[in-house]
Amino acid sequence: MADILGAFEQAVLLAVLRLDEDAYGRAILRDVQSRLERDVAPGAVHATLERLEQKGFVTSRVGGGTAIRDGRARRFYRVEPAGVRALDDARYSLDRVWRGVGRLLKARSS
Amino acid sequence: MKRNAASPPVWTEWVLVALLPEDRAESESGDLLEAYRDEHLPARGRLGADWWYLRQVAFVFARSYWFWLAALIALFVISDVTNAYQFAASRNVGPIAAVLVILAASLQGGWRSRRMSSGLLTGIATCMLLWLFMAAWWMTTWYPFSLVQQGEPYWISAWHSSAAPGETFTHWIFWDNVGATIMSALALSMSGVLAGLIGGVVGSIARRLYLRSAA
Repeated sequence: MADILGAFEQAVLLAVLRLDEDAYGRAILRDVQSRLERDVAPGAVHATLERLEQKGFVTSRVGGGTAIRDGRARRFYRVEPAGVRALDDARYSLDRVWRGVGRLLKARSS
Repeated sequence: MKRNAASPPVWTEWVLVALLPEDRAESESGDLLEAYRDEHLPARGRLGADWWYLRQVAFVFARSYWFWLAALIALFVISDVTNAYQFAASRNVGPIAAVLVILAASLQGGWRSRRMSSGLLTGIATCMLLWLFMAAWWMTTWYPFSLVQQGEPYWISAWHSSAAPGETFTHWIFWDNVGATIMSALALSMSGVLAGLIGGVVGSIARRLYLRSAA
């Protein structure tokens, strides 16, 4: 568990996982924005994808463009086994941090 | 090149593509164009969508080169405070170090994108942003600094030798700052273009040679 993913990295990686075959920059951005319920800069998503690719968590391939983007190529991403492991690790760490706190929160809020 | 009715300004697209790595320029600029047409143009109108696009281009620049700009600003602040308070030791190191930092930023631009234009753009943009900071800094600090400077023999002697008859120290130092702002615009323009050209050419060639040898 050498490299725990940050919250934004997790959101991006989960968007790639969720979108499956349709995971390209703009679609990932929309997914992240709707899940986080806030405006996100496209550059932040691109930078994160680049970083995740360097870490070997995702791979990318260049696909066809569409008319709305003047035919410019889309870069499609895919989560690799290392990325799935990193997500599992992040979730495991978070679960450990939260373990036993639920009861305390309930007691404090009532 | 004429602007399409539903496209961002041509120059902003050119700047964006020049800033991005060669292998990602098409897909990332395509994502931005799609967002511009699909979401921001209908929601914000032409001006609002253009402003949004411009901010995205600035974000791409900041995410890649913020370190160099921060270094330049730190160098300038140290150099200006040193100058105002007359800690003479490192007064002449500032400009040389600044040119080296601009050169390093341009080298990174050429290396990252494999394009000379990116290095040139990086050199010019870092200088422009530094100049904006310098102008704001001088206009904000000239008065508090002048309160210290008017007790320093170095500044008193400079005032006596170049002030007009009857000109107060405060008036003289204000116009000295205005002059410095204008002169620094010229000096930074030249430094940005020269360092940008050299850095862009060297960086892009070095990256191409590196990739060729690695293949």
